[in-house]
Amino acid sequence: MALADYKKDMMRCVRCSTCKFIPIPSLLKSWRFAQGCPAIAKHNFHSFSASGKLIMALSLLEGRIEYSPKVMEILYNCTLCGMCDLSCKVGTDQELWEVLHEFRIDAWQKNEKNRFAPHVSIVESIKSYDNVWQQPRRKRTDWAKGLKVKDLNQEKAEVLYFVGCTYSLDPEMRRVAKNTAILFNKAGVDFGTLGANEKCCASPAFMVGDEELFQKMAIENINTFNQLGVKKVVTSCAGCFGLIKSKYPRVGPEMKFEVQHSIEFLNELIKEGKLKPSKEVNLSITYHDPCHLGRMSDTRIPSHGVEHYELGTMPIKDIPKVMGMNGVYEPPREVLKSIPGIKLIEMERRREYAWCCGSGGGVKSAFPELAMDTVKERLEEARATGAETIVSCCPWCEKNFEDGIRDSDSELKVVDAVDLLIQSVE
Amino acid sequence: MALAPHIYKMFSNIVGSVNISDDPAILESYTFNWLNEFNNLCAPGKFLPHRPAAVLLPGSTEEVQSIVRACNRYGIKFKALSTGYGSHSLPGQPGVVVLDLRRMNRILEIDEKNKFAVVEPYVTWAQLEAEVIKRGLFTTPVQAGSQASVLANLTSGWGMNTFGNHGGHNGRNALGIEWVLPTGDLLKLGPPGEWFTGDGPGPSLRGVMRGHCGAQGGMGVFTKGAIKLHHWPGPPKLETETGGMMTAYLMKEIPEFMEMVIPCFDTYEQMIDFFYQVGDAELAYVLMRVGSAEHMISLMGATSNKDIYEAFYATGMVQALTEQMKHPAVAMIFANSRREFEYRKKVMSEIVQETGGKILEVMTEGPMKELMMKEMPVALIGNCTLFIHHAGGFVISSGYMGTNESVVKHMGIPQEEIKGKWAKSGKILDDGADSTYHNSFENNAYVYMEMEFHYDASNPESVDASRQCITDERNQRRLEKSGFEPNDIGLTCGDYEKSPQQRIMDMGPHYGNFHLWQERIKRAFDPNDVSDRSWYGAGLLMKDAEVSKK
Repeated sequence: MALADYKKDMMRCVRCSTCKFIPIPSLLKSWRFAQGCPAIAKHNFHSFSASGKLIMALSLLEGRIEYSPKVMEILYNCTLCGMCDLSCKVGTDQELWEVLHEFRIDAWQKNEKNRFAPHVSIVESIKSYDNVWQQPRRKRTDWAKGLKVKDLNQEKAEVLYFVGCTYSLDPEMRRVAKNTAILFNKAGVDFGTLGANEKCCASPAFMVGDEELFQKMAIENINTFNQLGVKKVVTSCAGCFGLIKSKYPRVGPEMKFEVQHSIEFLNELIKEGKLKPSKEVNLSITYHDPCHLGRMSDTRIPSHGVEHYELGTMPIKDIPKVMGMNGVYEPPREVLKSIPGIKLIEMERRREYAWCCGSGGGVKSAFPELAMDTVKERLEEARATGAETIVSCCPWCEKNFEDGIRDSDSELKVVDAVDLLIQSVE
Repeated sequence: MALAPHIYKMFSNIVGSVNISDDPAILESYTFNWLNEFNNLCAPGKFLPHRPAAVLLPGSTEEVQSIVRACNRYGIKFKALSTGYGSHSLPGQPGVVVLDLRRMNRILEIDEKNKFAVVEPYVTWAQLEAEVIKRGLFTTPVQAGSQASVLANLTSGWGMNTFGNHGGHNGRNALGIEWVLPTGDLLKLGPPGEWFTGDGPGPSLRGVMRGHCGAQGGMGVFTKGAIKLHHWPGPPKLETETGGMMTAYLMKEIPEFMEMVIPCFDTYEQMIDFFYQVGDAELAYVLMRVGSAEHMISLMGATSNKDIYEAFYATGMVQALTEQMKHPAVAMIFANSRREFEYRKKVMSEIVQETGGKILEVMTEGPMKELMMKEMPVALIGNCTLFIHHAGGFVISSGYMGTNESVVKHMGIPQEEIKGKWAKSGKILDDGADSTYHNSFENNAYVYMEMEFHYDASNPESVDASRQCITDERNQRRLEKSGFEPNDIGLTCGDYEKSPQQRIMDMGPHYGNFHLWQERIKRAFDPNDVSDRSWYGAGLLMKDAEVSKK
């Protein structure tokens, strides 16, 4: 696909402002938490909304404006969280998210001089080190020291645990990988990792629009996973999960494995009786749905299919309409509810219409102010529930929550769902 | 037309440097809108030829006043918008400074006892509804959708509302209003410091402020407004779950004292009789007609067009329903108690019988019942009307306000022929010839009817056919003498080769020369002619002698 292939979607935008808000009034619980789009919530000019970006793309295609630093600023001041896409699709067959992403691919290719330095740096890190943190490959195994984890470069297993760059390399986040492996071992799971040979899922490259690098890494990873002969690829990182499950199918090779987030897998293990949460964890919590575990994990193929009219001018696309309703919403809640003593209080914006944490889409690195404003909005929503702790299943969300808490004197704590589960399992 | 640097700096000093921009990437999004394809300045394209001089984001009434006063001082035209849905929210001429009121988004007060709320311009219907429904109150959301501005509907534009039978038209729900006049002076409609009414001693200014259609941003800026709220007999929280075809959400539980009644009638006369009797008995919150079954099905949007087509058309279901449902009406009953609920249902049932209505079996069981009882309320109560844009193109005829008889005679019947011709052309959506919204207000004190057309906004041939269809309809309308065309969207779209001001010039003589009065008012309120008048009146085309003519 090319940007011009989405011209119809641009022309069919009615600039109604729905993409700025939660779509259905009955989902709203208050005036306070009605916003859906972090970018327009911060910047206010219509151009920052999804509709505004579609208009900007059409304007570029029609030669009314050219790529400029301002166009790039608007385009990349967006977490690509997909909320706008859901809101619009409640009433239309329009593609929004795909247009925003294709716009970035176009910008990355045609406007190299205005790329943002932090994005270039991350992409170079992936190219040089196979990870986003500019760390030597060998460090990927540090988190697993002393744990029973198969090396799938040497032996076979049913499950590949795809740890992800952040859980394996960020010293503050390694505990999640460690806790996950401990739980897998307790449940008797036959699993292993790729160790130092694990490569970045390429989510950051995908998000900033470096399609070439994304395609290359995705194909390499699919081939590797296929060659391992594993039944499942389980990831702890919502970013990796969303990309592998939802975006890898667009690159071509058949994926001969099931993709699961660790929280889904752990939920299955609990239901099968292989893990028994029994110790009380007395805590009131609220759960934050990561975008890439939720609405952005519905498989999306960038295509209009073949469009034809019925009833005169009703456009019929021969591809499924993807709204994000099939994300992983229930498993994390089931896991949390299975822990005795946990009191789960929902935030107003949740599941497919959850407010983004503000970290994704290259925003945290290039536009930290937007990331900070967005996470503070979420922390405020969490605080309004009365919960003591905000729980998630994504390292990017959790890191941004930590930063937001530090910057706002919030008394909230942030933990990963796995951190709670391990406290409860004997 | 760029602002001079010192003027830009002056505006920047008022709103702050992050709240002003004249960058083309920002300005472009204020040149594109729904219905631009009917605007003679850009049709069949989507972009206006001129960009605003700058876009400003004021955060308070004081900032708005400062901007407007500066515009008067330097002879700069301005135009304010809020959620900004439709061509008429954009400037109609070059060099205009746009005031995007997005930062003014607070609900200032909800007076539960006296049933009104005071809002700023960017409060949406959904936000207001979320706050008032838990207090046992309800709003009258405009059919532009729940994401639209409450204040814009109160002050600046027409727009019908589904709950109008109970709650009335929002032009009449407007109470106290804070208004920055085109001169920058502040005018408060209603008693000082009070919001419960928009009138005070002396002549009412509410008519000058908006009349029936609103000034489309051509008479200054409205910065605060009070809206009448209504009693809500439903639950304090509307719980939904995912699913369904209309809005992707279903009611989790059907409210205990809610009933949806959809009788069908053999003739328009029977249907009109039903409207009158339900109005007289003050029975329904919603009383409307949504055209034929074909039209009703075509309104679904949450599911894909493909699924709608396969589920309803390819199976022959719509065709069968259309045969049986000649003139369907929709009534929604709410009650506060079991006894009241039983009473209302009983009276409704008797009226249906007396007026010759039939409740089709298909509506009382299976998927259609599910659709009507669990999905339709989400759309109606939540007023989620974005499902009307199958391909980005939805437009209505000029609309017609009057008695039941007059709207049916002058719009309903003739339009079936006009719409039918174009629907069969293959260039607009064939959603049945009978696609009229027919909405009752204030227990049938008056009704409003409009015929709608769906087209593909990305297909110039389809846009063109839609324009021609509207022009045919408009020409037909002008032959009539009873009732009137109230509709701002009609102004935007009709007679597409003309400018909005030319359309008003055409309309004026048919409707009491309102355009002359409008221009006199405009001149009195905006002596420096700075409030962009492109969508208000016909003054751009008028000569002084014509305006003062008796």
